[in-house]
Parts: sequence; structure tokens; C-alpha cells
Amino acid sequence: MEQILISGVFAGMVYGLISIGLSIIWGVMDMVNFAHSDFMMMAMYFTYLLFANVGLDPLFSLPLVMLAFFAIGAIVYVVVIRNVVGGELVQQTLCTFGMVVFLQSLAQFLWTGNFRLVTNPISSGSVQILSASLSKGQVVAGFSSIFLAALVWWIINRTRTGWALMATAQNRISAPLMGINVNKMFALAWGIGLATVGAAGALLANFYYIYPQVGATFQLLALVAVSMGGFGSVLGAMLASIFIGLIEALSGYFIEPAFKYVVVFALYLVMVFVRPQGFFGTHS
Amino acid sequence: MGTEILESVKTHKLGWGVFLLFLFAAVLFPFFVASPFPLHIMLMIFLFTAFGTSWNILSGYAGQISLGQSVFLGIGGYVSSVLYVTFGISPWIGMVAGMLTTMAFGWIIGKPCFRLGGRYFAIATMAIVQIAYIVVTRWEFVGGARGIYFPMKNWGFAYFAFRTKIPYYYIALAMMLVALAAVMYIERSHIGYYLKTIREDPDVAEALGIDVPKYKMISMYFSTAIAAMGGTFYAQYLLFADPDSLFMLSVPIMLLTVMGGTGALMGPLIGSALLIPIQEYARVAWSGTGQALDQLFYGFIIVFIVVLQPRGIIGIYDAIRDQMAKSADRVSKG
Repeated sequence: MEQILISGVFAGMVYGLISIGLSIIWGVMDMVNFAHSDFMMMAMYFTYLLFANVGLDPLFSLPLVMLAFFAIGAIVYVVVIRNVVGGELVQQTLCTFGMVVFLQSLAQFLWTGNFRLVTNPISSGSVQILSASLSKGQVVAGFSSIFLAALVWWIINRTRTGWALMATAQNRISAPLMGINVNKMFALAWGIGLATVGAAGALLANFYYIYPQVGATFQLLALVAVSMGGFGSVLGAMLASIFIGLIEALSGYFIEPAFKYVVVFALYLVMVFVRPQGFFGTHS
Repeated sequence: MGTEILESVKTHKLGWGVFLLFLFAAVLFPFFVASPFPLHIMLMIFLFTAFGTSWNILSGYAGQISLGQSVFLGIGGYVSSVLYVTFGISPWIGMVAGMLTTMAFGWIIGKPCFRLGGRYFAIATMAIVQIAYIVVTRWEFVGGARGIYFPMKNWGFAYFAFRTKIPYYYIALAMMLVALAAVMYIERSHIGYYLKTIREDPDVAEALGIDVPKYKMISMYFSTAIAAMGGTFYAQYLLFADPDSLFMLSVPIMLLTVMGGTGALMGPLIGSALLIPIQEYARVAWSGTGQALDQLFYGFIIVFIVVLQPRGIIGIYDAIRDQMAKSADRVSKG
């Protein structure tokens, strides 16, 4: 039992790292990035390729992947997303959903549908936490997620750039009047969003199978976490993700592993029905 | 003012004439072309026009984006297949049962989501696809991952199973007309105006006294019923139902509608007339190896169209017509 709870919490921490990027983009731009964890899938392949070709361990490629995905985020914003800001919901949704299709089939095309795994990274083996034994990769991923989430929280809440980001989230019409470049802020939101999800990808590559559709279930969990945590709230996304990790682990144990997503989804519907602004959100 | 009305009647009459001509040709088509492959392509165009229309009602007209339209046709197809193969109930009755079941599913998803903005609904539809796929794959009663195969012994109208493609062809044509008639009914009744208002601005719709969740739900009922109807047809046409053929069609359905014109009556027909032949020829030519490549192309095209011309081919046509009208105006005033 302790094993289940603890592994649930550690899984939840990684979901948290995925969710905060989604939450920032959602909060700042009022837009859902449906392709969020497909960018994570791309980061997993990046990490895998660096490992397989150059022999770089996922732990050392983490900063590289984060930098690369920060840049990719800003580029995707400038090239594609900028054109649909302020457009109809149909346009925004289909735009990022089209990217889902594109990224998954790009991975399928370039690297086939075979499952890949980073074999024997530095963080392999198992660790004992209380009475639970977890893989070292999972523990490293969990703690790094918390660290990175704290860093993002600090950037948003304690730096001038972060305040500008929050001002943009609150009112994108009056933000420019305060001398904030909204376009730059949106690009920054995408940059931070994809850098964090890229980090999640690099951390997951330590112990998780890599295949083109790997993002799908993470996407679902992250969307539920963000709806629960409230948009734009880093803390909310993290706590909601840990909660989801626990629910998922428990329902996998008590019902059947395959049906755990059914439980998470039911939770989402109840959530939407009862408290649509999330537990930490201020507006719906 | 008077000439304007006259003009619009004229253009509509022209549109109707073209449509009736096509319909006439479609009815006569099997009398001249007997080989199965062209018939297959034509009936797939009809079927996917119906599917595209079901997506269009919900997403194009009501603005509630469904990212998993395939679930609705899958449930419809599965209900009729299980009733037929396991309980021996005629697929026609199964089709109605499937439509009702799917509408109930739509209610379950719509009830919590429709009070809120469209993105909650989009997320729910994205989730429901994965869940339906997982559940059906693990559920032995409905055939699991293997699917349900129909016994090849009963043929004829009562069993909704035929040895030739011609009966399927006419049924698909009829289903497409039913779907288009439903959209025309919506467009001409107050429902169409309400839905358009809801799509453009839900707050304004609310302020005007429109019961927003109710009308979203009405569009949901239309959409799910049409999808389920087509789902039964598709299973009967394939003579089997499995998760991969029934739950994986959301992307092509969306793509063809976006390509033709979201929120336009003829959008799905234009889109599927363009896309289905390419898709079916590619399937025959590459037989599966081109899978990722065609998806890659789909993804690119969706983003491309949505960014440049959100109203698809019909949008491009309208833009060109407006441009021409403007320049003609300038010449006459000139």
C-alpha cells in the first residue's frame, strides 16, 4: 500500500512538470495547447537520440533539451500560433490539434513505431524510500520536477519578467499600456511551457518507453490537472498533478490498471460540473 | 436593395441546379459504372460527407469542437453490431438503438461541459476517444481487440448485408441526403440562428435570452444521431466492427470538413469529394506503408488551412467572389 501511494506521488510530480507549462500557456494566452505532451514526446526522442548517437546521458542532456525546447516554443509561437491569437475557438483548437497529428506522424515517419528505451543510464537501479522501492530514474524525475517547478514559480512571482507575464495574463489590452510587449510575453509563455515539458521528456526518457503516441495519455492527465489546479497557477497544477498521480495509482490497484484513465476522466467531468474554475483558480 | 435579393435568389437557384444535377448523376452512376472500386469510392464520399456533416453541426455551427467524433460513430456501429451478431436483432433496429445510445452518451459529456466555454468540451472529447478505445479493446463481450465479425450467411435488406456494392451505394447516398437535410433544417429554423450566435459570442447569446446549454445539446443530438447512423452503415459495409476501424476516424472527418468549409452546408461534401479518392487510391497503392506519411500530410494541412483560411475552400471561393464583385463595382463606377 505504501508502495502504491509513494509511487503515485512520484508519478504525480512528473505530471506536475508537464502540467505547469500547459497551465502557463493556458493562463497567459487563454489558449489550450493540445499538442503539449507531443512536444514532450519529441523531447524524449531528442534525449534518446543524444544517448544512442553521442552517448550523452539523459541527465546531462536535460539542460540542452530545455534550451532547445525554449527556442522551439518561441519559434512555434512566432511562426504558427501568433496567427490564431484572438481568433475563434475553432481555429485555435484545430491549430494545436493539427500539430498533434503532425508531430505524432512525424515521429512515426522518422523513427518508426518501435518502442525505444535508454538502456542503463546513470540513474538506473532502485532506491528505497520508506518501505517502497522505486526506480532511481523515477526518483530523480520526481525531485527534479519539484525543483524546476519551484524555479518557474520563482520566475513568475519574483522577477519583473514574471510580473509582466502575469499582467499580460490578467489583461492583454492594458498590459501594453504599461510598456509590456504582449507579443514577447506570449512567446515567452510558449518558451517556458515547452522548456518545462521538454525537461519532463528528458527525465521520463530515463525509465519510460519512447514511442510516437506516448504523449496521448500524459496529455489527458495534464489537461485534467490544469483544469483542477486552475489556469496559470503553478502551485495548483503541481498539487493537482500529485493528486491525480495518487488517484491513478489507487484506481489501478483497486480496479484494473487499464481502467485507471476512466476514473481520472470521470473525475474531470465531476470537476467541471462542480467547480469549473479549479481548486486554486480565481476565474473560470 | 431589390436587385440584391434578386441576385441572391439567382445564385441560390444556380447552386440548387448544380446540386440537383450532381444528385441526378449520382443516382444514375451505378447504371453506367459497374466495377466495384469506383462505386466504393463514391459511397465512401457519401458516407464521409455524412460523418463530416455530423462534426460540422456540433463544431462548425454550434462552435463546440469535437476532437473525437469517431467515438460517436464507433458507439453506433458497435451497438448495432453487438445486437445483430450476439442477439440476432436486425441492424436496422440496431441502428436506431445505436443512435439513441450515442445521443445518451452525448448527453453525459455535454451536460457538465455545455454550461462552460468550448474548451472544456474539446478536452472531454479528446479524453473520451482514448477511454472508449481502451474499454472496447479490453471488453471481451464486444469482441475485444479482435472485434466482431459478422456471419456471412444472411444477406438482404432485412439483414443490412448485401453481396454487391449497389445497395450499399444507394443507402449511403440516402444517408448523406438525410444528413444534409438535417443541416438545412437547422440553417432555416431558429436553431441555426441561435447556434450561430452561440458560436460567435456565447455571452451575447445568453444576454439575448437564448438557453445556451439547451441549444448546444440540440446540436449534440443531431450530431451524434447522424454519426451513429453512419457508424452502423460502416460496420455493415465492412462486415465487421473493431476498435481500429471505428474509433480512429476523427482526424479524417475533421480534416475533410475543415478543408471544404467549416460551418457551411456543402463543406463536408466538397472536402470528402477531394480527399476520399486520394485516401482510397493511396490505400490501394501503398497498402498501409504510407500510413504515417498521409497522417503527416493531414496534420500539416489542418494547421495550414486553419491559419490561412479558417473557412476552407468555401471561404476561398467567397473571398474571390467578393474581390471580383468589388472590382466589378469599381469598374462600373469608374
